Amino acid sequence: MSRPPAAPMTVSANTPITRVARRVRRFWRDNGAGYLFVLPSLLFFLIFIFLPLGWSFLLSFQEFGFRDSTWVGLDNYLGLIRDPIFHQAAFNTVIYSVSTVAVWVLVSMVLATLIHPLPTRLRTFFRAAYYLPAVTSAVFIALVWKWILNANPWGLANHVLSLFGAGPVSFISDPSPFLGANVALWSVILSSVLTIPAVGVVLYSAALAGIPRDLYEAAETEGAGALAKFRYITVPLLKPITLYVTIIYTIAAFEVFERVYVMTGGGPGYATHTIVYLIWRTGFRFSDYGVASAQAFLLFAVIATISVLQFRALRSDVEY
Amino acid sequence: MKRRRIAAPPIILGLALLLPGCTPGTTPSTTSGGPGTGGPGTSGPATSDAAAYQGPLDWWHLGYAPGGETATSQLVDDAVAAYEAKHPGVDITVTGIPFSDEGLARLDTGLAAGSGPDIFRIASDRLPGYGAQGVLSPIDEFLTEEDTADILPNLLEGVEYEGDHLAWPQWVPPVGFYLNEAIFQEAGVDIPEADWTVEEFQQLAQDLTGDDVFGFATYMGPASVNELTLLYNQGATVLNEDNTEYTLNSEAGVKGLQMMAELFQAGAMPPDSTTIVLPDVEQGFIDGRFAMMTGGSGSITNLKANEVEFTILPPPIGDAGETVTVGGMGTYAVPQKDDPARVAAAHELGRYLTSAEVAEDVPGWYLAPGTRESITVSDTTPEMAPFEEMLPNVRFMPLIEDWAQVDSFIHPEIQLAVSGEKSAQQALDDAGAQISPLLGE
Amino acid sequence: MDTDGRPADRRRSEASISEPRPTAPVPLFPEAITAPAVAGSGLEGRQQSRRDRLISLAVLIPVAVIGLFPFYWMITTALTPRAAAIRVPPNLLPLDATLDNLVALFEQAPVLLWASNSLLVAGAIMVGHVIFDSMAGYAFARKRFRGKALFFTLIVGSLMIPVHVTLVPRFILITNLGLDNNLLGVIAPSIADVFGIFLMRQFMQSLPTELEEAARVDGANEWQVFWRIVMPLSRPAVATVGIFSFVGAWNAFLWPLIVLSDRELLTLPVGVALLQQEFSSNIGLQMAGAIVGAVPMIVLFLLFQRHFLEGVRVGGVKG
Repeated sequence: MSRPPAAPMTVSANTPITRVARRVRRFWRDNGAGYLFVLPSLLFFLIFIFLPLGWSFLLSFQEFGFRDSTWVGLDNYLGLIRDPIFHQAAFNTVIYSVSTVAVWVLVSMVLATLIHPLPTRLRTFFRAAYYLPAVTSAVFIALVWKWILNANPWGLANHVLSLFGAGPVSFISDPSPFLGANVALWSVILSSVLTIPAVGVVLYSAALAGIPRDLYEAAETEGAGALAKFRYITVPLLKPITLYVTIIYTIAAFEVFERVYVMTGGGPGYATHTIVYLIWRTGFRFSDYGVASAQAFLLFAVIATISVLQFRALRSDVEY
Repeated sequence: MKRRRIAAPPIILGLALLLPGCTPGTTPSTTSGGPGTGGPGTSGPATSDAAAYQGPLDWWHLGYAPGGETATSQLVDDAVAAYEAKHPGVDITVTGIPFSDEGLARLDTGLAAGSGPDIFRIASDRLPGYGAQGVLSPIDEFLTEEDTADILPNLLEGVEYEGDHLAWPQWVPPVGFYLNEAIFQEAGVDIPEADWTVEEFQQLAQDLTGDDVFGFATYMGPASVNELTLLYNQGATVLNEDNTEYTLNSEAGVKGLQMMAELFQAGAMPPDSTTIVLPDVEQGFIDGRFAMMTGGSGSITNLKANEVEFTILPPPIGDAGETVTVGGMGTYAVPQKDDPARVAAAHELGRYLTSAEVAEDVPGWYLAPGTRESITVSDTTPEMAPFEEMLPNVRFMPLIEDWAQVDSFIHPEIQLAVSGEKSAQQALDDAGAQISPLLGE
Repeated sequence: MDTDGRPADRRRSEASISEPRPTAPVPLFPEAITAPAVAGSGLEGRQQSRRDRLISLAVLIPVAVIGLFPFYWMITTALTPRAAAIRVPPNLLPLDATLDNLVALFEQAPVLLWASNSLLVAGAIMVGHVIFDSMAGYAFARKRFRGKALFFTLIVGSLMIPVHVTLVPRFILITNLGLDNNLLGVIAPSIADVFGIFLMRQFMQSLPTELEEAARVDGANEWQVFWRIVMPLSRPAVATVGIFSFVGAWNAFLWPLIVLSDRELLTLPVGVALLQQEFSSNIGLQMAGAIVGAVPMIVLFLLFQRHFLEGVRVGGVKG
């Protein structure tokens, strides 16, 4: 739509109808293009995302039945707040997220920094090597880790340990308390932490490209070593991207599911239950979609809150 | 559980306009009467409806794949061919769905949306859930006198929910104990008799544990009944007779669970017992790493295919004083649909698939002992004989609507007790704390 | 967030054009990552002492080994003959490599058919995303319209809700539309996913407006401005959205599983899962299935690597 020339003034200028028409025209002129461009996505979003979400939200206040659902108000939410299994799942999820996100952000930053100065070929090689596993399905990676961390002596980790004379560790089958959580959970966290945060590596790589060379050169003339340069130049300047990486990884970590499902099935006991695993179980095993919806929206509230907090904490206006 | 129709706020109405599928068409037909007062004689309008039906029937089967390698797939294909030959004009399409939670979710969403199959194979523990939702067409109208005389009464009870029989009972795979003959031989130990005791079992498990061998392995994850044999044979049950009270934490239950925990902590069970999955138990047995395992009759085919020498025994006898085992029941359920002729035809198919007739047409159809007197499995599959003998001693899990939830509280606690995190008493009590509120309705 | 659609600082947007500017100011997030790569600035390719290089490699190589290990194991297992006891002890070197599993896989199942279904579905979803998400991103980046902030918040918010919760409502909706057991039923809801909109908005926000304005002065209409000017400038972002949506759609499991019943309609991951169930004791075959599912993605990745790695910087994605 091109910008129209000034609207022609008609002689009978100010009747109510022409006023309305003028307003409509103005509205359309201002907003029309925007609406048109956004229309297909808006339609798809409304029908396939907003509507189901809306229904789920309403469902969270009901008890689901194939034929009819009964309205129970806040009961589902209150029940969850009192439910020790939900507490455990929430606790596990938080521990998992805090640990893995911290490691992922740090590791991807360091790896990107190390890759960056390499010659082009090596750079591309490593980036590709790190990104490749990210292209395969999460389920299969989890299967592999299940074998690696298997409690039996023939599990790969135990096999390696035995070569050093160390006894078999029960890893993912061990619910005993450890460092505030339990061994099984930490084993799952271990498998996550040893998974390369490929997306973070590439994001940081891009951001590093934006840091001016002369900053480093200036620091070098003042005798700064590699570590100092990293700490006082790289890290602060990467703050903006750190925020972004942290948020996306937090969302992903809070929604961990396949890994737990494949490796431990939530066990032993409730040791590795996570919130999405609970949602899955509640909805798909018990067909209790009302409660599952409530769980999902509680999770959403948590993620949204944390994201806002992260945004506030890590926001920076580095510009000069 | 009381049900009130919700007063729909306008938004829900708006949604409902877009989602008419929320309430699938017909109201369920509720037939009154219990087991004995089944159908109106041998040929009521129902059977003639069925006979007249020509057209498609959709059959969903967990674990099936057309032309597949497993016994399931081949047998289903053969049964379809046989049935279609006898009922020309009926065109059966079988759809396989994965034997997993996702597959069951597929089934559920299909049923919820009213777009599900005409008939599907399902384990009996899910029937109460469907029954409470009213999505199934009970078989009572279609049960002939012949049927009611033929089906074993305690097994017919296994599909009963609030007065209706919700599905055609097909077979019962009881849980048995498989013993790996090669391992026993190597250890120089004799295979015990069918009336072996728990003490003997315990001793054997420990004696047979060696360098690369564990004496005993069992699945104890979600939806399992296998490890419960060791509690049931002491006389414990999950709930009492009328399903109003949790009883697994009785002395008997604690004793059984404690024995298992002791075995694990003595190293007679594999270290990943608390998270091991069923196929891995079987695989371990096949690989010669487990001397004994629990399993249903379904394992026989796989073991034979891998040329494993095994003996099947009922669970060892404990304080219950007699052989006790547990099992689920495979059934064929027919969802409620608008077309009565089609529903009747589906029931006809259901009866066929659970009768002696199909066993004649499709040898080896019964992978577990059938539920009818007229069916013997052990003549075609001799290994099945011990399971057939166990049939009268099978206890089913309680048929209540929230069974999936009750079940979900039991196994984590058992896992914790086995690994030593909690005492057996504590674990079973904790499970009860979660379960009791569910029973209060 | 700037809802006006214009970059708040023209200086930034100038820096984002291709020529190397060693003294370019560091852009503010999120615009930092929305600029096409600035070649030559920073530390790239800088002379590095040998010692530093060795230390770097000493870290990078083991990490690469760990990261690629699961992948390596998948391949070796797929090539291991059935008879080998895969579990005990672990088989790390495929000395008896065989293609039996792959052959059996193709014999047992219409794998090629499934792959072509996946291709169709993923391709359609990709095209839908590329076009609609770019349009919407452009609207958020450049246009004013009432309700814009609200809509955008809804979009970002919807990213935070796990997918399982909307599964049943979505399926009932699809069934009512008559799209169950139909590839369209898989495609349509997937086009609704919003991560692409977010990405395109971020990217387009940082483009300079001069070119667009110039085009308008020359008489181009809104669509031409979008299609002829903005889209070509957004190529890295478009490539990203395209590739991510393709890969995501290809690997999608849960939704196609729920929607599709006919064996001939299945997409590759769903078909492979069914196979795994059938051959649950043959892990070699299972892994062969996994590999077959992954190979097209790998090929795609290697082919478009440059656009891809360049484009991934633009906005990131759900880990």
